[in-house]
Amino acid sequence: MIYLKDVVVFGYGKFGNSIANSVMREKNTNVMVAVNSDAEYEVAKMDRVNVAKFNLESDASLEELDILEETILLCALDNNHENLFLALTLRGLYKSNYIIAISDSSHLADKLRMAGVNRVIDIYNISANVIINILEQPVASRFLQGFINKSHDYVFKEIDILKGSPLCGKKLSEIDFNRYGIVFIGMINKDEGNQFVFATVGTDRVINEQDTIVCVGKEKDLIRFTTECGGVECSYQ
Amino acid sequence: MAKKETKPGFIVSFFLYLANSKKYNNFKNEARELLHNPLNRYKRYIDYILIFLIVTSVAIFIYEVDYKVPDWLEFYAVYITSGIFAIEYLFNFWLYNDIRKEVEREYNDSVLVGRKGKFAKVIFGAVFKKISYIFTPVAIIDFLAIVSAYKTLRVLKIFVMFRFLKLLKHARSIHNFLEVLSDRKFELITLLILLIFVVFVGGISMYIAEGNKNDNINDLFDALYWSFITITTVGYGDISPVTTPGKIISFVIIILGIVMISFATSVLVSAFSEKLNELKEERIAEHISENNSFLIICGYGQIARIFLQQYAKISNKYIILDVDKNRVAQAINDGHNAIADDPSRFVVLNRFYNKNSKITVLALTGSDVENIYISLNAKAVSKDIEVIARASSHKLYNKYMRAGADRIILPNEIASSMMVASIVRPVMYKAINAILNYKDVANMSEIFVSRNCKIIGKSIEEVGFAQYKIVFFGLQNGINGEFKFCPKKDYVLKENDILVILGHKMSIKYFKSINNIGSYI
Repeated sequence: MIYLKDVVVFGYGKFGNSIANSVMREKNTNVMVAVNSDAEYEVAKMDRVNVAKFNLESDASLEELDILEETILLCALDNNHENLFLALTLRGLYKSNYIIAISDSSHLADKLRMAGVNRVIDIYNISANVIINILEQPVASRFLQGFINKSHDYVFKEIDILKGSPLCGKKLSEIDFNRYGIVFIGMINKDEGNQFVFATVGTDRVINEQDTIVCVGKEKDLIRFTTECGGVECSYQ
Repeated sequence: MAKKETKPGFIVSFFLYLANSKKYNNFKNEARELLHNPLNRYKRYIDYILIFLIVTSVAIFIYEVDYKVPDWLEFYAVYITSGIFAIEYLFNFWLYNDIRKEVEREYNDSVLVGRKGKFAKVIFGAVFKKISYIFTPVAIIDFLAIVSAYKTLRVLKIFVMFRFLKLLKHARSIHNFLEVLSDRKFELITLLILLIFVVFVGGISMYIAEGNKNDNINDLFDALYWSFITITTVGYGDISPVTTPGKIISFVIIILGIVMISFATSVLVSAFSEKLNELKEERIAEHISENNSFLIICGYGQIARIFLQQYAKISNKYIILDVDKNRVAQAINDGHNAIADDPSRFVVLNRFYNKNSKITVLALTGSDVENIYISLNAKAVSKDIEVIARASSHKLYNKYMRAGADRIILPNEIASSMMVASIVRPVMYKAINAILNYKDVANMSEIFVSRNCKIIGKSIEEVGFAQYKIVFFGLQNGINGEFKFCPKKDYVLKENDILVILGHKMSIKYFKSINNIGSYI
């Protein structure tokens, strides 16, 4: 079962444009763009994007936007100060929504977190790390980048183990993932708020029903594994 | 087309033969590189050896003035050092100009236009130029340094000093000092002329005023001597004015002396401070290009700053180039090596080029135009230079590719992709974010299977990654091989395989130490 995600991207400038378009390319998202400048509005219109205007200084104009409780809010205004102001306003208006904001420095990232943003994407920090990865680990970095820019076919998949699965009661070390051409990388710990636990720290625990394991591999191999082991693709994927 | 055949004579043929000889040309180029190119990493060692010979031989000659030295030391100081200096002298003479090239040029010109070659004139001109080397100041010093060792000349002790003068050529700091002086030639000569003029005017005035009244001033020379000693503010006091006019002249001379000394000091200080920056930058550039692999980071903006906060912990083999002096000052303040220079200029990147080093240029300025220009410039210096460029938009991707960039970083795209991943594939986002941020639990690492590695010849099952709590993703053979994801368990690891693994920092360290695995980059 796949849920459609409602996403509102604020801003359609240098950052917002590429973010909105990336989100729109995903098939299970429903995107609306909200802008506060006429120029960006025109560009969005030309790109045939579902666009609305808002006034940063008027809470009412933000409330008029069609924002539900599950809607994810992306703050991507070009101006740092405006972006912070927007995040702060949105958090005030929408207490429980998931807010993601972009930042171009660690100082701003801290401020955004203080303003109540759930996740901060630090543009230059990520890029700088990517460069280090390219220099230090060219092969691994290419592999890693492939997940982000989809230059290879390998994907991450979360698999829920259902009742009656042949995996139930087996230790992790007893499961032959290699036979399916997939790699086991971790589990979701449901007891601790769906925390992802890397296989690199996990003990050789026994798999029980309701567990969620995370594997990497080609889509078809993962599906074969999922069917054969009596699991199901995690519901929020 | 009918060609007028001019059969070259023996000497011309000889020079033409040399001009076409690959071996001879290579040898001469290598020699020139080694002796004359300050950026050559071996030249410094030759200089060190020569400095050692100079200092030790001079020390022996000085010791010899009062004491007897053993024969072998004498032999070393006289014959060995002089022999080596003579070889160096001959090499410099040989490298001074290229007769063969001039003969070849004349030959080609004459064949092209079908005239008779004026070889005699060309050869005489070139030989004359070569002989003129002997009369250059450097050659004269070199020559005197060689002959100063011979007993007959050594009697004139001053000759030993010529050997010391040779240090000027090989000790770079002395060389730099002379360069500063020559840079300020105009100011210094003006000052010198002024000094001579004032000394003469002061001396003559003093002679007229006190020539027959002061017991210490017997002739004009005494007066000039007094004038000079006073104007330079040394003031020995052996001659001092005794009359009122003489004392007034002293006032004027002393004031002029102070003015001139301050002037000379300020000229030299300003020249030195200018030169010092230049020298410092030169040293940094030389130092960095001696490494086997290093980074040239172009532009010290936000992204470079964050990059270096991480990278500086891993390696110090990098240099920052930025046109903006404020940003360079900021970089230096942050503890990095930085030079204020324009990386889009050929000469700037070329001075770092060293065919034995692996150079990576990071074009990280905020402007696409600049980054593309830098990428092209780096590739113009050498195709072997790896270029990683930052682009602002995907639309420019092809332009960067055409400019020769090997990898293109799109910060906006990366951020967008990560943002999308965080919404649509949260688990993948968390995993990749943890890996990219170097979290201890999620260290993605590469393992290079070298000849001494204990895992060579073992199958993947035998290596048993799981027992080290390491996740094995896949491998490729050699840096240009194809990546194989999750190979079968019975795959046997061979030399040059590069394995991609994920593990806790400590697990990976332990795994590497147990299996004798070193870093490979």
